[in-house]
Amino acid sequence: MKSSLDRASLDLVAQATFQKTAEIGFQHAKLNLPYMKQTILDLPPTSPEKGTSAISMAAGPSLHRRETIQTIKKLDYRGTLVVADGAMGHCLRNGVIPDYVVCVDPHPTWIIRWFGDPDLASRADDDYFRRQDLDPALNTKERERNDELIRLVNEHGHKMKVIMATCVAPNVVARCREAGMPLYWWNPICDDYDAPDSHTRRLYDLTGMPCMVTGGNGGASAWIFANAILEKSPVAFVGMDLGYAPGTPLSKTQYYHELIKFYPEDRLNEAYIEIHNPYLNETWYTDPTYYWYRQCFLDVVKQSGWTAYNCTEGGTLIGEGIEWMALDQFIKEQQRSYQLSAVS
Amino acid sequence: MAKLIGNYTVPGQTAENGTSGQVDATEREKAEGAHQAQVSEFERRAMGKLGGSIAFVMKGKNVLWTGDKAASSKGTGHEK
Repeated sequence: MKSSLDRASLDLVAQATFQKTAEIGFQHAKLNLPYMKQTILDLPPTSPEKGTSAISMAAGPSLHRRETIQTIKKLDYRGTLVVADGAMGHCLRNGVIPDYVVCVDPHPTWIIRWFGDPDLASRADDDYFRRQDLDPALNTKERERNDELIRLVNEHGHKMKVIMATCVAPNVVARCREAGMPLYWWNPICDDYDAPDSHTRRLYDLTGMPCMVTGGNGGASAWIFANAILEKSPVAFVGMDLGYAPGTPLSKTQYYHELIKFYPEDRLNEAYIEIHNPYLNETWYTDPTYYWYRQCFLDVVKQSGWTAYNCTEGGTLIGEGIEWMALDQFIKEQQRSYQLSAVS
Repeated sequence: MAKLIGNYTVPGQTAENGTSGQVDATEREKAEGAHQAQVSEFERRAMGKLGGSIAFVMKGKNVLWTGDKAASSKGTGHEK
C-alpha cells in the first residue's frame, strides 16, 4: 500500500466527483423545486436545554466497533445530535432519535435505502449494502431490515429535521415527505460561485436556496452544518473514520468493484493507502476516495479555524485543528459545563 | 481574493473560468505536464472512476453563500 496520495491524484478524484454528481444533481434540483418551502436559514433555534455542544455522526465502522450509540445513551448526552443519513438507521434501531439528518449525495438508488426503500423489491440486484461496513445491519436479511427501517422512519420521521441538499434524488424527497419529515433545503457549493459558468451559481439561480460548503460527503456536511448554521461549539464528530479498520478485507471496501477493474487481484493493495493512527497505535487503510474525503475535511478544519473534536475512536482523521478525544470524556465535559452554566 | 481550496478545473472549462482565474496558459501547460508525469495513465483511469458523494470547494473562510446580495457570504469568524 502507499503512504499517501499526491495532489494530482486527489484532483482526479475531485473531478470525478464533480462529473458524477453535478449534472444529475441539477436535474434532481429541478424536480425537487416544488417542495423547497424552507431553507436551512429558516430553522428554529435549538432549545436552551440542548446547551451549546453538538455531536455530528457519520456511518464509519467505529460507530459499531466502539459502540458509540451505547455511550451516547449511557451518558445521557443531551446536546444536539446531527447525523449523516447513513447513520440514521443505526440510531433509530438503538432508540436514539437524532435532531437533524443531513442528506447530500445525489445517487439515484442508494440513498433512499437509508430511509427504507419502498421499491426495494423491484430494484436491480446490488451488493452495495450487503458488502460493506457502513451499516452492518444491512449486510444480511436485506428485505427484513428494509421493512424495519421503513417502519422506524415512518414512526419517528416527524421528530427529525432533514437538512436536504437540492441535488438529492427525488425518490428520497418523496420518501421523507411520506414519513412526515420536515425538510430544510440548501445548495451544495460545488465550485467557485464567482466564476461565470459556475455550477453552484446555476443551482442558486434555479432554487434561491442558500449554498453551504459540503466537505465532500454527508458526515463532513453534518459537522459543517452544526458549526455554520446551528453555531454550536464545541462540535465533536463520531463514526467518521474515512478508512477501514486493520484486517478489513479489500473486497469489503466501498470502491472495490471499481478498483478491481483496473488493478489485478495480486496488486490490488497498491491502490490503497495506509495511515498510522498514533493514538491507537494501529495502522488503518483507506482508498483514494476516502483519502480525498479526508483531505477535504482537513482543509475545511484548517481553513475555517473551527476545532474538530474527533471522538470517533478509530480511523484516519488526524491533523491540524483536530483534537483527538474519547467520546465519554467529551460528553462528560459538556454535561459538566452545562450544569455549571445552569447554576450560575 | 479569497483562497479557494478543494479546487480543480473541470474539463471543458477554461482556467480563467475555472478556479483561481489567475493561472496563465504557460503555467497551466507546465502544471498539466507535471500532472501527466505524476500519475500514470493506468492510475488516472482508475481515479476517474472513484468519484465521491458530492463535490467540494471552500472559498476563503466562507462556509455559506447566499447570492450576490450585500453581506451574502457567511464566514467562520476566525480570520487568521
